Order: sequence, then structure tokens, then C-alpha cells
Amino acid sequence: MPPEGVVDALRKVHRSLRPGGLLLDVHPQPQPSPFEVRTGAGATDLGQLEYSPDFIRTMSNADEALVSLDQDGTFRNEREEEFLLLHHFESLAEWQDYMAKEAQYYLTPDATMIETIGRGLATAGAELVLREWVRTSRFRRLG
Amino acid sequence: MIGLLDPEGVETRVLHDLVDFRGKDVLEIGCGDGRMTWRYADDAASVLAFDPDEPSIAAAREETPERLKAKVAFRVAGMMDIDLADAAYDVGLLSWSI
Repeated sequence: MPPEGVVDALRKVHRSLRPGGLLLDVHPQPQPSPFEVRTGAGATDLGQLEYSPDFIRTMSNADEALVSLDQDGTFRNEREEEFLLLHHFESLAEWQDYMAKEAQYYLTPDATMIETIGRGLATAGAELVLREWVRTSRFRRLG
Repeated sequence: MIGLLDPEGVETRVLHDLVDFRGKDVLEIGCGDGRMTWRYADDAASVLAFDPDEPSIAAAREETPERLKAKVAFRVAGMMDIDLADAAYDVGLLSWSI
């Protein structure tokens, strides 16, 4: 959605909130998401997954819209927190199903990466862990 | 859900750290299959959660625990086409939706 579309949507949310109500935005951050294989012996970094340019643009548009509504007095940004959200996969098939479902958000991993993950998960009890940076922002409805 | 997302409960902790959902009327935008809804709905007074993706809403309805059915409503709708009453909610939640 372009920034003006997001602004329109957020103005609609603003109208639906009671005076002093809160808007909580949760969305991933554009930096690549590292992933690792964990076994009983420890964790091995395998690389990182990158978001697609389209999705990075969507995130940027969202940020731009929220900043503009903070600046024009529609909402006031009261607090932000960033955290790592962990996604655990027990098999290569499970990870590939996830990637197929979320394909629109990521750059397609190359064959070498998939092979590396497959090798890492071949160990009994191994799991793949994807770490995504997420930001949560709390806004107060003004006006 | 494919894989296991946030078994550590970090997202839930952050949500509740930022907002006290107790007794609140919550509007959730882009709820998908209700993944985020389950993290706060027990505390809320009411929840209207919507998403344009019909299969996701069907899954959310199917997974709604009995104890939440009286206060959580899921709708198939997009942000610009849903009818929302003015000044009706205490909290708006954009769950990975903008």
C-alpha cells in the first residue's frame, strides 16, 4: 500500500478509537533475518534470509505514514520496542512449506542455501531457527 | 501455522508490556488466522478482528476456543471496506498488517 493509502487507513482507525485510545503497530523490520541450526552440541549460523524489495518498500511506506500522523497530531508515538521473534522448524519440508506460504515477503533462497539447511537438519534432534527483528510501537489517539 | 512461532513468548510479553488489554474493546486489523488474537483476547472485553483473506478467517473461527466465542468476532474484510463505528474501541492493533 502506498503511504497515502496507509494514512487513509490509519485515519479510519483513528475515528474508530475512543478519545485517548491506543494504536499498537507490530511489524517486522527490514534487516535480513539470520537463521541457524541448533543441535544438542550448539548452534551453527547458516546465513540470513532477505526480504523482497517490494516488502521492504511496504514497511518503509508504513513507517512514513506513521511518522506523518505523529507529526500532524493525529497520533502521538509514546513508546517503541524492538525484539527478536524466533520461528522454529523441525524439518526441511516444514521450512520449505513456510517459505512457499510466505514467498511474497522474501527473496527466494538459492539452491546452496537450501542444501546447507537440509544438511544441518539431517542431525537427529536438530531444528532450524529463523530470527526476525520486529518493532512494536504504541501510539495515543489525539484530537 | 507452519513451524513453531515464538514458543519463548517474547511477542506476547512485549504486547502486554505496551498495552493493558484488561477490559478493553479491541479492533485488530489484519488478524490473519488469529495468531496474534490469542495472545491478548482472554484479557479483552471484546475483540473485532478482520482480514481480507477468507481461508485465514475460516481458520481463525475454527480455532476460536469455546471460552472466547462470546467476545471475539472475526470478519472477512479489508481496512477500507469494513464499516466501523466511530469512537467504539479502546485499542487498535495492526498485527503485521501495514
